[in-house]
Amino acid sequence: MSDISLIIRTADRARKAEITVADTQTCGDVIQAAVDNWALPKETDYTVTNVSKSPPQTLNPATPLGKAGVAAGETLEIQPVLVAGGIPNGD
Amino acid sequence: MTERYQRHGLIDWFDQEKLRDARIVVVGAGAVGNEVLKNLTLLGIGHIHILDFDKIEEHNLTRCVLFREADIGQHKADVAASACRLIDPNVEILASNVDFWKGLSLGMVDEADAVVCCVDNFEARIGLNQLCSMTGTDFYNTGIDSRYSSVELFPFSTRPDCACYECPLPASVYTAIQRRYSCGPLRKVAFAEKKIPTTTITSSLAGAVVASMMLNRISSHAQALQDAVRHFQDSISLESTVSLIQRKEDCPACTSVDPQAIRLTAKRSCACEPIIPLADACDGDVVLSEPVLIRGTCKLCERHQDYYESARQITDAVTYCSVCSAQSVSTELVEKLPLAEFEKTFAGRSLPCKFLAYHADNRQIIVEMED
Repeated sequence: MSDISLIIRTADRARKAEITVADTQTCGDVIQAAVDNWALPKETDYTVTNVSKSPPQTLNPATPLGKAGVAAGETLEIQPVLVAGGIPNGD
Repeated sequence: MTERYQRHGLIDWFDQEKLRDARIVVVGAGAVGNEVLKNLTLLGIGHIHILDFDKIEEHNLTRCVLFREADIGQHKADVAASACRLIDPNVEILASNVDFWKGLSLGMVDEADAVVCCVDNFEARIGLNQLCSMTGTDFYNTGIDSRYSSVELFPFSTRPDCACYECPLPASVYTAIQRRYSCGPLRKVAFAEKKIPTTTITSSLAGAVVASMMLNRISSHAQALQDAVRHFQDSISLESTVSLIQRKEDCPACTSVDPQAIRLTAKRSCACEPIIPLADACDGDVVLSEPVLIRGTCKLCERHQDYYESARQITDAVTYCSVCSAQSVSTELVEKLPLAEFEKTFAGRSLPCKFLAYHADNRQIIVEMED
């Protein structure tokens, strides 16, 4: 296990921070930390995209950062999972 | 090619004939669905099937280019189809005013070049993702809010091993889905869906991106996307990202699908006949496409009622005993059961699910129910 320093930001880029976390922490842990620390809307679901990679990569929330290939200095963007668009739910 | 498509013909890679032969299924004819349908029709896609059970309300008119005030109260699929026929009478358009889970067979998905998901809930997206990955059909998922638009492509036709819609989903999505249910898979009678603010700006962005991705793939453009990707756009800053979606190795949705599965059909009403054609070789459980409510039994008065209906169609009102005036009814639901138990449970009854799956001789067999 080793620590890595990352930059995380929201999709609207209104929030941005440098964090140092263990590479065994999951991408979902990063999402949760952003939601908690920045008081992001809790009723929204989020995914995380490594925008420093070329091309950028949308990561699996259950995967540890190290295993997801996240390297020191890279930027992770917290993107909302968008649900609206059309027909309502079933009834 | 007619004069109508003359300007398309000036684009050297544009293949109007391939578009004319294309078959596209659009699920949801709301805000994004309208934009997708308008674009596909203008491009000259030859065959479009629209599915939407919903009817037009006044608030739809700010985001739906195909609807007019006089259409309020009409089925969205019917009105959208009529409007598209007026745009281009050469396009063959079928409208189905039903829930896609009932109106869209695996055969229809299989015949389609792509399915576009323009709904507003996770369950429908998960269901369409399943049908497309099972049949190896390209799946386009759309989502919007008041600021962002998101379009995801899952190119199952050329990359059956690509990530699926469920791979990047956080656990909170499944928690959110569960909030709609109070008793296993039974829906809450009263559940207020959160209304998400949207405008035509984000819906038209999503509609344009879907049409572009699809046009490029159908026309075999050299830069057409070949992997599972998400296009995410901020309509205020105008920043956008296109990201590769990582496959989740233990994704339950991906791992439950065998691209080499044998697909069969059976009459829903003939459970007494061999619904399972290779029953002798059946290895493991029979898995139903959705939970089926078998019976409800009151724990107080012990009265019971048989249902044998898809749990998706039933609310938690069945857990209330009118005799005891209490929520005292326990429910018996099945979704996965051994063959012998399956045969015993459904002997002489209709099977109220979309399909069932099982393994025989190391092959996955999927049997779709036909009415």
